[in-house]
Amino acid sequence: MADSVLSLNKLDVGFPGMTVVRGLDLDVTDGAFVSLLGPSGSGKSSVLRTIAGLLPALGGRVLLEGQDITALPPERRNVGIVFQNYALFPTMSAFENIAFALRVAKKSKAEVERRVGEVAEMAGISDQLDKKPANMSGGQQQRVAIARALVTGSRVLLFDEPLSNLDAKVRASMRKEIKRLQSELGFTAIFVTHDQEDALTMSDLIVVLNHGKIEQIGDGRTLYRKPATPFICEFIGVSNELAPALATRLLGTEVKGRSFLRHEDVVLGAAAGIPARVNHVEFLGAHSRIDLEVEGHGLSAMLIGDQLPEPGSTVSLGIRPGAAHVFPEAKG
Amino acid sequence: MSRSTRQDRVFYWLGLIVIAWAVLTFLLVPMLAALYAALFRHGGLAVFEAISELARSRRVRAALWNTVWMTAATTVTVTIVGMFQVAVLEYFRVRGRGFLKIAFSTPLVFGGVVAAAGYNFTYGPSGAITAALTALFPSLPRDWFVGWFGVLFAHTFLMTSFHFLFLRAAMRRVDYSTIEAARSMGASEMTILRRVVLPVILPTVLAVTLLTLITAMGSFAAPQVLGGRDFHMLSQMVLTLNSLRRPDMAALLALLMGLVLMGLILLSQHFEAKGAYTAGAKTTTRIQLRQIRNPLVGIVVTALAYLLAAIYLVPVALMVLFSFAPASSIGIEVLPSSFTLANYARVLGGGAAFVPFFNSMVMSSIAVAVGLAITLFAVPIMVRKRSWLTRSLDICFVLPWIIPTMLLAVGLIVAFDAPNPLVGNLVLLGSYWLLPIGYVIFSLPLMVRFMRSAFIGIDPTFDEAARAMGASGPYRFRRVALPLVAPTAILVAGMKFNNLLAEYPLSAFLYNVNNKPLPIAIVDGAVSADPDQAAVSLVYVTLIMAFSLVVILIAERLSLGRTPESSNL
Repeated sequence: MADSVLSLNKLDVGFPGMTVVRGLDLDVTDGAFVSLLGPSGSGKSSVLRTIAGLLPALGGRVLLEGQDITALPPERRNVGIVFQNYALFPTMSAFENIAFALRVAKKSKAEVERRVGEVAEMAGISDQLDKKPANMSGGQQQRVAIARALVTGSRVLLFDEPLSNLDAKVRASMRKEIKRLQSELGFTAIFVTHDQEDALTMSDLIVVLNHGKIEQIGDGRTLYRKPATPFICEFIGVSNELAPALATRLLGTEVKGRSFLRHEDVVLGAAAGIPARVNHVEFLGAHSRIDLEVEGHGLSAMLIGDQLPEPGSTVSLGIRPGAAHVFPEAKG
Repeated sequence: MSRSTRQDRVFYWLGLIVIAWAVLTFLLVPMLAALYAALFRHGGLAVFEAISELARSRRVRAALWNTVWMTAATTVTVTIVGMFQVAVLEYFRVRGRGFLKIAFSTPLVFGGVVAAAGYNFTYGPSGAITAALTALFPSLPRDWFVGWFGVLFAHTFLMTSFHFLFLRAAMRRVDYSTIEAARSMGASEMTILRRVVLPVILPTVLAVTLLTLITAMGSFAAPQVLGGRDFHMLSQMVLTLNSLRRPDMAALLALLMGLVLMGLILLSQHFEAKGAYTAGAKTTTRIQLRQIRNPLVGIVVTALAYLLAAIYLVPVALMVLFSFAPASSIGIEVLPSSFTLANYARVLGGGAAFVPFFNSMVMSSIAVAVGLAITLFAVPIMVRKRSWLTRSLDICFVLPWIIPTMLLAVGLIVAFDAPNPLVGNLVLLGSYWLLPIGYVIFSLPLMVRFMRSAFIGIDPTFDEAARAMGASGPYRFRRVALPLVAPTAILVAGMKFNNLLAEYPLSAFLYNVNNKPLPIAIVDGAVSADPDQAAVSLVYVTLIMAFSLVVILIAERLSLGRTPESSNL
């Protein structure tokens, strides 16, 4: 790809004697926001560490702006990293943290001040530069970490699950913050996360990894609406796995292999539906979850609004047309 | 490879070679020399001959017997006092707990040669308490305290620091909800203590008892200062044999003591490992102090607690007071009637009294600086790279912890009493340098232990972040790791400096006219009848205690706590 800023070329990732990810190919266009999404142990962090050079590649190549950096030590790669805990040096002020790489490169005092000033201005932390990390809020620390990663002019920033220790509200605002900085500053982001919301809300492209294999690459809508594998169905969103007999009954055609139906694609009160018994109703606020029993099989549905069926009652059950995802035997 | 990386590598290997040489020359060779001197004679194994020769000496037999019974007696008395302290501080509700805690913590600052001199000054022939007692009972001999009684008394109250530190901690680990559960099931106070509390703290009690035993067995300064002419223990015998030019006998005796001590240390570690009761409970409730039900018992316990506090505080207070008193009042007055800075002026003024102070300052500074340099260089390597070389270095660094100080001292003497090719054929014995070298070796275990945990505690992502920003290895060490471990380094340097100012066993073996250190001067002053010398000793001791206090306060601020790895009484 002509404008790809980072390319992974048949990259083998792992530790001597234990390959975690094999033959990874990926092209990242300039300015894109790419998430590596997967459960723990899927190898996503190892891929990130291999791009950074903290983990030597077992095979294949890493190209940064067309240059092969596979054999370079991390200190000569010029990719910025934002760590899970930000890894801000606690003994240094925000200014010194950001200036670190410039001081390593023996830049003049004037240049250090100018460049730290510029990047701090962009990140909105100009008035925080004298503070030690311990005296800053989580949001400010994140900005310092991003400014620090950007100050040498790195075009590619690697984020290693920076949101994973935060509660839901803070997490949401941090997401917006990262996204804002990214669109304003125009860097390319590789973002590792195990949280589907992180990936869906921020990414132009999501790479879903499972057990060291790419399950699917695509944008959020594609992954959600057109999952390529049963794993994607189960990992992104909440789905019912339908027993073959029930699937056959609901879809009206013979179904073999595995099939999935998202909770919101279950329709209650359908015209020509199948009778289903309401076992349990869970009110969750914005929506409710209804546990049903259909011909001996369990099934859950999501309903919006306050018109909820009574537990013990019988409802007529249908599905949104074309909503079921069917994977023939071979793929499962 | 760039020029700077090549320079780094040269520096790295040069450093390792220097350290390997130092470990070989000043630790391994002396150990082997001591073993050889102890076990061989004229090229043949002669250990049984030597042992029977030792056994024929009446003084050695007496010292052995004294050491055995003194150790046993000390273990009993210290356990009683130590358990009582823990009960008063952590189990029962007694008024003035804060004050008692300060009083009972004095052995942390007031130990070894300092405390021995202090007790001698308080209860000995020229002591204030003796002055008071002889005024009341004129028939009481002025040396009533000197002999086995003084030694046992000093041991009893000064060796409780293990209880204070470890047994209190164990008591705080008792989950209060288990006590409440026992009570709700109808258990009496005694049953609760016996069946619920004791089993939890028992492994710690055993470990602490063994530590007391070890300390009592190796007791040196206490019998030296308080034992008088007739009561000697084995440590003193080693020193005597060495000064009688029988280093072989000295080494053998030190080796035999060392073997017993090592066995005890291993045993105590076994108990310590078993002491890790982490109960099933995820959240434990802190123990709440129990009210003593019987009012009479309550009064007796409180009175005993305050009597004990007085025993701890009076010598310290008297020493500090008399260090500001005219020398002529020492041994005459119970409390000084006038105050002067003359004693301090004599010590700090640069005369003869200044010399030991200066010597100890210089030698301790050198030892701490060299120890710190070795540790800061070697520990990050040992933490990062596990190879046979770093592993063996690791073991070597902690060896002086296991090997008795006296054996190391005798080893250094026999290894360097003749030209030694490892140090360019110099004879180090009798030179200035053997004692500071001994200090370095003696300092390494504590420094390595603390710095290791400091380096291990550094979040590895700091290093990765710095690498990703282009920093080389030495640059990362200097800008990232060093500032992070600096507080620990400062603290450990202070602690060790403080230990060395009052280090007695090594000093007694290795000092000479060129470098007479503070602890030797303190002992000389304590046993001398000259009040001027005693006054100078008091100033030394007060200064050392003040310095200890400063170090402890710094440690508290850095919230690291203090763990005395040994108290060489």
